[in-house]
Amino acid sequence: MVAADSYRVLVVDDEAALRSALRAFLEVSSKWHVCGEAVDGEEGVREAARLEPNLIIMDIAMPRMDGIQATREIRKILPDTPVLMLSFHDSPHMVAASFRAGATGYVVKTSIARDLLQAVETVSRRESFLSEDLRDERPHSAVPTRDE
Amino acid sequence: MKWTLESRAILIGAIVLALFLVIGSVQYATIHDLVNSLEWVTHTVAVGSQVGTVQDALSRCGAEARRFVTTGDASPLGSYGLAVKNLGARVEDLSEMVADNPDQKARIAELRPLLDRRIETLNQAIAERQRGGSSAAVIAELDRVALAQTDPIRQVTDEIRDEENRLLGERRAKTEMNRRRATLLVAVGSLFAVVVVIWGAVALHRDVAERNRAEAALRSSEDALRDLSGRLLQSQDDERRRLARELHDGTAQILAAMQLHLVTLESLVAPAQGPAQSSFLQLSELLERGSREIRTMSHLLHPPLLEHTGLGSAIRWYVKGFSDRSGIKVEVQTEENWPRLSPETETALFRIAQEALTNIHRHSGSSTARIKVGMGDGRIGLEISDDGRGIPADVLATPARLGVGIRGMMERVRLLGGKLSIESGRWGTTVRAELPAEGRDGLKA
Repeated sequence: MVAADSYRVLVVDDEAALRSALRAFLEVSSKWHVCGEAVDGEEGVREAARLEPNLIIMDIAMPRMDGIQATREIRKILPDTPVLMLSFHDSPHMVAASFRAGATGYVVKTSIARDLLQAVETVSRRESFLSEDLRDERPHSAVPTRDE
Repeated sequence: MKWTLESRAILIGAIVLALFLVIGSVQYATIHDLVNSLEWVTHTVAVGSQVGTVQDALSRCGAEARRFVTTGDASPLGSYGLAVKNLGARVEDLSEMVADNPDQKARIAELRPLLDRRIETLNQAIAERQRGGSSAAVIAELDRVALAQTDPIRQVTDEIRDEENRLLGERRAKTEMNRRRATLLVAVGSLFAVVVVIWGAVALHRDVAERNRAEAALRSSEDALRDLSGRLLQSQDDERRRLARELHDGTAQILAAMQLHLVTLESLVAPAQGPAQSSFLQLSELLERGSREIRTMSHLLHPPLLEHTGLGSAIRWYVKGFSDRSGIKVEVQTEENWPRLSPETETALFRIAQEALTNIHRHSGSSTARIKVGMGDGRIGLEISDDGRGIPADVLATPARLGVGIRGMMERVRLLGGKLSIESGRWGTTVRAELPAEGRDGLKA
């Protein structure tokens, strides 16, 4: 049963096992409800426009349209919806590109279990989040600090 | 016994040379005979001519004596004296010319007294006229003995001439035979020479054609080998890219999902305590560690930065991980804003840097290294150096003894039309690679 005040989350990732794991992980708490899933950036933009979720979890490396381009497109239609990027890439370039596209947070998948819950809590408050592994190398001025 | 090409060539050359010597010797002998026989013919003609000269000289003596006797004028006496001397000289010449022929010598010996008697008769006629004798009487006496004296002389000289004519016939026949033989031998020798030249030209052409075919086959093999080498390198890169993608898209994602499910499970079951909690924690850490290792493996196989941002970023990323893993401090100097190069060029230079650093870690014993990347004049240069023990000079000088890694570097550079150089000594090793800076659009960057 979905609580009325649950955060509605759209999950965009081309890996079915990971989408399923994200749903199971998030829905342990009634605070989060996965309202939709998309397998690539194009579908993600369509579902975001249709579902108007409270939060979007976006993979970067996807076919047809990658997560960075999809975030840019979603920003045009849902400027206030936070987007949390998920990726195995931990390069400063990738992180900076994500934030320039309009992402609010970035989680590295190697520490997904450790960081994800805190990340969704933080970005749902419209605050930026970076995985702990990335914090020592603040990649770019496009990445806002917690205080900004 | 197996005949090599060289031994066959030597044998054939020796046979041809021997044949040329034999033919040449026979030709020389034949031409010598021909010249000899021509000389005898000339000599024989000269002897015949000389006989005529003797006869003319005798006739001149008689004519001058008769003039004096007829006219009583002393002026012919000088000519007579000269004619007699001339006759003697001509007879001596004739005698020398037939000295080799005993029969002719005998005839000359027979001729001399006949000529002496005739001259004596002429002298007596001149002396009688000088004493005031009648010219008619003297002339009558001369006429009376002329025939008796000149006939034997003519007979002997005719015999001499006939003998010379006979010899001339023989010698002309011999000369003709020698001429024909010489002509035949020259023709045979020339034909043999032509055959040898043609045969030699054919053999040479065949050898040259065979060599050209062998060289073309060798070049073709070398080209095929280089092509294969290039394809193997490309195949290796493609395979690495594929494995990197599969690790990233498959295994890594599954490990991430497992991490999430583990945390979910921990939340759903009763709060774990003691050993159960410890196991959950360890499992979580193991999954995270496994995830990191899979990611590192994937990125080492094919760094995504090489595609997304280019060579400089990829090298800096790789160096960071290399230093962490090896403990070797690496200083990197690259420019910040150079144009993107073709994927082949960037991949080749990245792999060269990767291979060079691997070699530094495995073999050099150096604790430091330097990488410099620079672009200019349409070329991009990569230099990797260390302060280690160096590569032994004999190994460096023999490409076959260099490792597969270094040979792979050489092949990558060669395929893209670049240069690779390695300097090494006790001070360390420097690898320099230089490639045309081809841009992503195929034009010069």
